[in-house]
Amino acid sequence: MARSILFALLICFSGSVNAAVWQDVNKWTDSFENKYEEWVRKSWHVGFFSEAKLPNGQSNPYYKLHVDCADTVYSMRIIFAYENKLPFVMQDPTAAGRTISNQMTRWDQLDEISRVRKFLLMVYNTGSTRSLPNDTYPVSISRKTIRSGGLIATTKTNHHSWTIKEILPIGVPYLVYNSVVGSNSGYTLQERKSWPNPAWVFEGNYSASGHAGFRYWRPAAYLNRPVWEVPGYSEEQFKIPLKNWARTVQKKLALTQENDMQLLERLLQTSCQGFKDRVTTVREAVDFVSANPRCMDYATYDNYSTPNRDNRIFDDTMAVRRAYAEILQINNGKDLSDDIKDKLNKIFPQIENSAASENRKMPVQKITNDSICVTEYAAGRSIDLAEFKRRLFSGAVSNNPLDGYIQRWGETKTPSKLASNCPSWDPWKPDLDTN
Amino acid sequence: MNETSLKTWILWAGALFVLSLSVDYFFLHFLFEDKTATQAQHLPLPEDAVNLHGPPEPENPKQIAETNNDNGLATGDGNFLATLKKCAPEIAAQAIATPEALVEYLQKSIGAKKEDITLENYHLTLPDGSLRRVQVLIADKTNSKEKKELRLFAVDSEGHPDRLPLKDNETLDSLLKLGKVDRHEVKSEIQLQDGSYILLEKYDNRVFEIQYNNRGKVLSCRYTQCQCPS
Repeated sequence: MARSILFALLICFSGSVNAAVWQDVNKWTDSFENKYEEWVRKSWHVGFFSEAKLPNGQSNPYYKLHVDCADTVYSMRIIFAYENKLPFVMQDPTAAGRTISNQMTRWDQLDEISRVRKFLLMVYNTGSTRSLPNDTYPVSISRKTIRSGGLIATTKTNHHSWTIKEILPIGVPYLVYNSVVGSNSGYTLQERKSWPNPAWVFEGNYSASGHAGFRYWRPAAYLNRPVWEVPGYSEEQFKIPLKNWARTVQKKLALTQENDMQLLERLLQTSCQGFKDRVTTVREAVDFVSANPRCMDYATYDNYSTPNRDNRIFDDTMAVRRAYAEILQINNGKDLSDDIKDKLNKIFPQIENSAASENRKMPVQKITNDSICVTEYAAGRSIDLAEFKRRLFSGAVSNNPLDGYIQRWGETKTPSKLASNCPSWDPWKPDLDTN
Repeated sequence: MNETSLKTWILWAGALFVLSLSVDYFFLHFLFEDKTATQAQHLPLPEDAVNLHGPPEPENPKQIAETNNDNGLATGDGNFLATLKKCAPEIAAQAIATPEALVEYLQKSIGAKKEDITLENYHLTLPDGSLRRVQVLIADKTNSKEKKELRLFAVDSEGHPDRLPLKDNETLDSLLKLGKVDRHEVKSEIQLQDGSYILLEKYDNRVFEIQYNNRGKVLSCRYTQCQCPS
């Protein structure tokens, strides 16, 4: 018996000497970059970490990996590299001049897929939105450079990032991403087919030194080197007036023109998705407070509050308003159906006026035939997008997790007793005057 | 059938071990020569010999001349002055000779509106000789725009970080007391009163990389190698 164990140990040991996370036998070439682009477009999706089985019926080796926004970006590149026996190298965020790569041998004793999962977790533990600039570079604006597999990053102010699943033929990015990872959040990623608000993306520093905007992966040889030396480095995207940024970039990336109907339907869809997704988030917070009816420490509060989420829904709804107003100004909405006009007029009843003025005069919106995105936010309580917009724009919707359903969804502006008596952080209120 | 002796078992095991090492060596060094080269390029550098230019093989003789001094910082004449003249001639006229002097001049003459440290790495040696890295960075998993996160890492035999859990009451100060700080890396962003920005990377208080956005003209320098795209 002892002999068998000794023999087995020696065999195992000899087989795993200096086992890299995976052996890379290929090199990143244009051909592999194209393959990567295709893989992201076809295989990278919101269920990547939440589906137990792959389409072919096999177990998903990446099932239940809990990722935040930057983890999502790194995962996309690492997993493709692994599956295609390519190297993955990133700058070590904890030490200038050093790298982390698939050649590390820390998990010699594990099987290959376990090593890959450990490596992913290690990257999640060391990387962040602050390390992404070390591993990527800003690109020029074209469909060759802004493509599937790249990313959009924000400045440090909003510390967020999105993966680019695809640039749609209309020139709009199809983004897959994740937000703050809470204790109760699932493994499903999020997606959007619209521009994030450029003012939010570049907030605080609209220049190359802000590290925001469209970026792509640096070749390994250009890690730990000045970013401006990376072939393809471009500051083009920082030279567009910020006010026209999304429109200008979209025009450059578009293969086909999106008509007015398609534009408004797409933007409405994004706004509606944000509204619907909020339901689960608020429910988690309300359930938590029901079970723990007391003040929260900062970390717990931060986990369950929704200022950034609410800000994004506001931005997305404001984007619909701006687009609709512009279309009416340019062609009086001649290409829009009566149906969509009725729906939009319910949400924006005074589109000819400013958002602030409209909101002051907007009456409560009941559910009618012109309602869209009717959503039940609590048992027996449903509203449409028009009413949610009214409440959100008037500042009634609370992002404080200590509030109950009626405050979180803006039925009243009076905070809950718990919210009044407990500390709160990072408040957000809609800014209608500068929008 | 005779029972195999322990000696025979050990001999066979030893032989198989040597055989597998040989096979490993063969595949790594003969069959995938290119890969070996790539791997060599990725091998971690010793903690005290940081190569800040990335690949160990400099691409040209000029780069060799610029490579490390004692701190691992690049040296060399560079083109700082010429590029500063192109990007900010009014500042170059003030006889600013180094990136450090530029930062000092800008902070004094224009004034800093806001300075944000976005990332700090402290490299520590503990009394028992083991290494730690302490990182302070802007936190991602938060709604806050300002919140910082503290991370502690051990360093494995290959020089890679290994995240360690923090105790509830641990602070930057308490972590720094664990050992001697050998190296301090700081990345910061300075917003000046006139709306321009300086992006700064300093190692042990010396400017390593700087990007100065002078109303759209961006001066970018790594040590004294600079550019100012028009």
